[in-house]
Amino acid sequence: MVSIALPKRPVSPTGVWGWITTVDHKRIGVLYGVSALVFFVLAGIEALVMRMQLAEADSDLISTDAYNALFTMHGTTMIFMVIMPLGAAFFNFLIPLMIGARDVAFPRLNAFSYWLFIFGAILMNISFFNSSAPDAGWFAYAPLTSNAFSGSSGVDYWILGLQVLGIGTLSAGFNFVITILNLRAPGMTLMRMPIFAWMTLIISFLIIFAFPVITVAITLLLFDRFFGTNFYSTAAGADPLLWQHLFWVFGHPEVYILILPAMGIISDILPTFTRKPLFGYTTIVLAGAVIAFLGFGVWAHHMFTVGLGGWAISAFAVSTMGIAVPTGVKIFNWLATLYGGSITFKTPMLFTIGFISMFLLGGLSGVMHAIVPVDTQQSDTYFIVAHFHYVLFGGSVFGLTAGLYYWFPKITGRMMSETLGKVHFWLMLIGFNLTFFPMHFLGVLGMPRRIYTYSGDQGWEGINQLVSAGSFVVALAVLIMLLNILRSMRAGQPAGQNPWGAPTLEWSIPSPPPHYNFAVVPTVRSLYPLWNEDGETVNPPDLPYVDESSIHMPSPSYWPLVVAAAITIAAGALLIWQWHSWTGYLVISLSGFLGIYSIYRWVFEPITATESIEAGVHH
Amino acid sequence: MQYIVNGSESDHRTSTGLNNRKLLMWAFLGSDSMFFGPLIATHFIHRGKSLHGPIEDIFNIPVTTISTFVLLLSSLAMVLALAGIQRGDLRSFRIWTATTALLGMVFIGFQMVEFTEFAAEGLTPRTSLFGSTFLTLTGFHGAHVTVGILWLWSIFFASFRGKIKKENSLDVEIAGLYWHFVDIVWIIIFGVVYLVGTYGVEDRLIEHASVIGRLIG
Amino acid sequence: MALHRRLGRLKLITIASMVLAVLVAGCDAPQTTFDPSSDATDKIHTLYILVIVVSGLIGTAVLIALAYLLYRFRARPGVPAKQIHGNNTLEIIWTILPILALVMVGVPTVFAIAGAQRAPSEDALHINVIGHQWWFEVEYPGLGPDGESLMTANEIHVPIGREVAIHLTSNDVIHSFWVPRLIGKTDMVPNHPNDLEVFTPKEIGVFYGQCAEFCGSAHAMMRFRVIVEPTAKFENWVEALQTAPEPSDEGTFIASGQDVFMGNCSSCHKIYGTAAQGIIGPDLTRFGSRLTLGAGILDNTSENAEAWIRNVRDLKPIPEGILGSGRPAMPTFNEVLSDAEIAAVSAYIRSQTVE
Repeated sequence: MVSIALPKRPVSPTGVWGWITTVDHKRIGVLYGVSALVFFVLAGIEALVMRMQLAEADSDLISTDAYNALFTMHGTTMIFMVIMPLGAAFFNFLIPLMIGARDVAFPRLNAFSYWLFIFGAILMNISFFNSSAPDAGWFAYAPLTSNAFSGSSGVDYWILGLQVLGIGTLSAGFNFVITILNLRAPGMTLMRMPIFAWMTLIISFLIIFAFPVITVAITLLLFDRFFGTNFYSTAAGADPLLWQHLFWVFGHPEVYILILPAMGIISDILPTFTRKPLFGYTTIVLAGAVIAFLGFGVWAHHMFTVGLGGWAISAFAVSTMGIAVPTGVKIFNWLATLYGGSITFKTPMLFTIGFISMFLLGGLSGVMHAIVPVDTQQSDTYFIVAHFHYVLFGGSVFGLTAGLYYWFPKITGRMMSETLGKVHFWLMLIGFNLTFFPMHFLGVLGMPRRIYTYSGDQGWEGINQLVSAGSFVVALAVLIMLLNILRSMRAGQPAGQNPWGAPTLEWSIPSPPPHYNFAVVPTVRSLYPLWNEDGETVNPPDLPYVDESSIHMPSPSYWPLVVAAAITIAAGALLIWQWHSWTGYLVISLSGFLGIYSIYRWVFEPITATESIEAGVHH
Repeated sequence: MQYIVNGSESDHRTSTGLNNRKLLMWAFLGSDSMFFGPLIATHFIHRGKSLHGPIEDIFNIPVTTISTFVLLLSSLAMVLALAGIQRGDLRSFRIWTATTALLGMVFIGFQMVEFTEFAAEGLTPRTSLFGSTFLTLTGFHGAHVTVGILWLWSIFFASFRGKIKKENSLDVEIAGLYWHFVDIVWIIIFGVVYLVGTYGVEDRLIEHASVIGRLIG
Repeated sequence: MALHRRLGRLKLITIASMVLAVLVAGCDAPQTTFDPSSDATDKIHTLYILVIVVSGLIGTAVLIALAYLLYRFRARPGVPAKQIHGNNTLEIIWTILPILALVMVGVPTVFAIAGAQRAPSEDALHINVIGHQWWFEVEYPGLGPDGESLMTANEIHVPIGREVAIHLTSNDVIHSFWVPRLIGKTDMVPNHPNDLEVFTPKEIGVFYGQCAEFCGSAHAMMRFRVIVEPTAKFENWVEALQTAPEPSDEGTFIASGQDVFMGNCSSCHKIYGTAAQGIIGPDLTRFGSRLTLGAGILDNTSENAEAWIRNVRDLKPIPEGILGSGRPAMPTFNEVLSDAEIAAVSAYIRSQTVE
């Protein structure tokens, strides 16, 4: 056997090498979160430039090609590189803590998911540097995406970046299904899990069933563009609607993947700030499951104007209206949680209230779209842009922000500033509504989507100016948030173990948690382990002394990074050499071999580096 | 009491009672079904829409039936291999694992010959909708089989280094799950693409309907 | 005033003003969806207002409830929270009620969808519209001489009070046909012909339309006009489009324009009854009477026409060379023709009017 002098397996690495080889879910969560915030700023800047272009009629501030790349990348980035990884940040940090586990089921697979995400995200964004950012829209309709109509490599970057990202997302989906099903502490039945854990479970199922479909869609597009196949080729007789069906069968479950984490987060924040249990826990769990299931049956409501025929349109209109029911039920249950409560208005609660109100508005405009005749006037206009920003920004982003303020103390051991938090909230609420509410009017007044400019005689300019002004208020709010994060990390009030007096397991351990999470794995007896029946926080009993060195945790590893790198190099090679040259073949083959070799090393590497593998601590 | 996942299965307790990696394989197979499903559907909805080039008449049903049977037999061999290692019978395990892998390789051989012939008759992925959808679908299936073959040879050779024992027969079971899935997908492809494609459900239905129509005047 | 109350008040004021504003919207925008001028958009509009009012009411009610709850149950010393876990009756009620509300909306919706699929009446006017990057090809089958098709581009004329049945397809990528005051949109998909819902225009006027599906670089500038006119005027227009233009007197400015046109433009553009029979670009028959040029983006003036011919790319971001459909894009002429020649061509095509 040839033995290459590979780096030794790290045991307890520090510094950058420590972060690169980490398999600790808490660190991986932080990596996801920081990365997502960077992309949030990037995608936000993309939006600001668009808004500057649209502030004036007939503006030529930026070219059409630049604008088309901006709206494509803004959408793609916000969805795949901001909201999903922010959700992943919370899944990663919190799920093991919430269910009483020491890590996820497959820690190295977890690291692998992160590396694929960041590599794929970087790969797609590199396209800006050679002036061929993807520019066919975030849902990339065929045949516009064929070589004939999109000859530059922008769409190739979109496909390959998404493929790499997608494998990471799928892996994470698998990991969390197994983790939540299998790694719960004794007594933690499924119906005693925090709602956030339930939503994560549901989302993970959505991921593993929906992402293969977009994999098929973009693989077929890749084959058309690189190998001359005919899947979306109108010249060969293909119907371009094939792309739309495949895309939206993924795309609709995807929007539930985007909103459910926020719904889970606020369902767990509400009890803490009302000092009473969540109203209708079982209903909320069921509603989430029903939404996920039905979510696979509504996809063609994105296609009401493409010519599906009366039967199909009616069926999807009805199913879309149907899915509003469990969503509404959730809102009622959240409101009922407030009833009889003792409500305190800390920043997490402010963003929670913001979530409920803004998501309500977005949900109502969504139901409007289900009324097909009305949709023929709303589809592809700014009315739709308003709707999805209300649910994705007013919904997901507000909910995730609530989570940030709520769990920041647990992650860092410090509180975020309440004053800055309140300024952030109010600026954001005002700025958000200033930006997106007027867009409903623009839609009513006939302004289509995805236009880089419009003429002055349309009567849209005044409203567009208002919208653009609002977007800068949003930007200011985001700056305040970043300021708050940075300041609080360094100088925030020490948080202690349970600063909010919250009821769930993650608040029973120190802030930040030790690397093994729980010194003694808890036995769970209720939905709110840290509260008694009167909603008062009860200190957990004193734990027996535990020798920390006897707790064996999965050891760090660099193989997940190497496999992720191999996959990305292959994708990059395909992009650069386009399957036309021997260099391309060579690089792809070499990275293939590297990948396979690394997978073997990963599989045969023991999970814990020490010789004697002892079972966890008994109690 | 709770344990961290580690290589040995014996002390392992999980909330559902199912081993983590086995559950992972089931989740993966569910997910992979959503990969093959759209591919099969994409092929099926394009029946009769290709503008030129060969279509289902290019199939050689008798030969493909043989290769299908070969793959089915390989699943039987896989079952026997698992039974062997669960009894601790390394020899039986090795014979049947090698048989499974070899039968899989025969299947791939049939596929390669089939595709080469099709190419000679003018059917490539670039020819038509039929060519693109059929060859992509069966190509991905073949890739899955190939991964399975590599996996089987890996555990075959690993058994000579003492890595496969009665105690970790779960590893073989998991490989077996994957292999059976790949076989089942082929049965579906054979049925939907080859058989329905060639003999045509709708044509038969129309035939029956018109016969009945004539009977009742 | 306490924070929560301020929150509640703020929300109320915001919502109230939003609803009011919605109702007054639609005054001055030519492409507004709130000024129906056909039977189809009348029905849509009624449904639209109903839906906005109902959603607005539900939204306001829930937000008021939210504000009230936040105020009423704010933390007060000595008042503990009620440890309520749930209430099955409430769950049933607030599941059934939304279902009922949705059924009340869903049934009319399904009927409206069915109605939108109705076949055109016997005496409907049939029009085929074919989408191109970045203009609309318009064909009136059977209205031309000897039952041929009548062709035009970017401007659709229809007589008032007669049912219109438009058939949509595309020559290249997916576009969408939308003229908000007359009819909701339907996509123009290559290899997938669609029928727009039939509609009968009820008002004379000029109606703005725009492509509503992202179709590449110049998507923002792919617009059109629909002109609803008295029947006599419509018939006059049809007649004019199938009459060869008056021959120009020799030696005139217009005649020189004709020569330049035939030498430089006729390979792509058609003018009925002349030697120009190109079908690559928009048909220019009776161009002088068209309200706009460039696919609805500029008024038809001599200045705009000359600028367009001189350098189309100054006005519309069309890429150069061969487009994805295989058709060449319009070239620029500032280096091929003198200003005088360009002015002459413009005068030539603008001299051909419908009168």
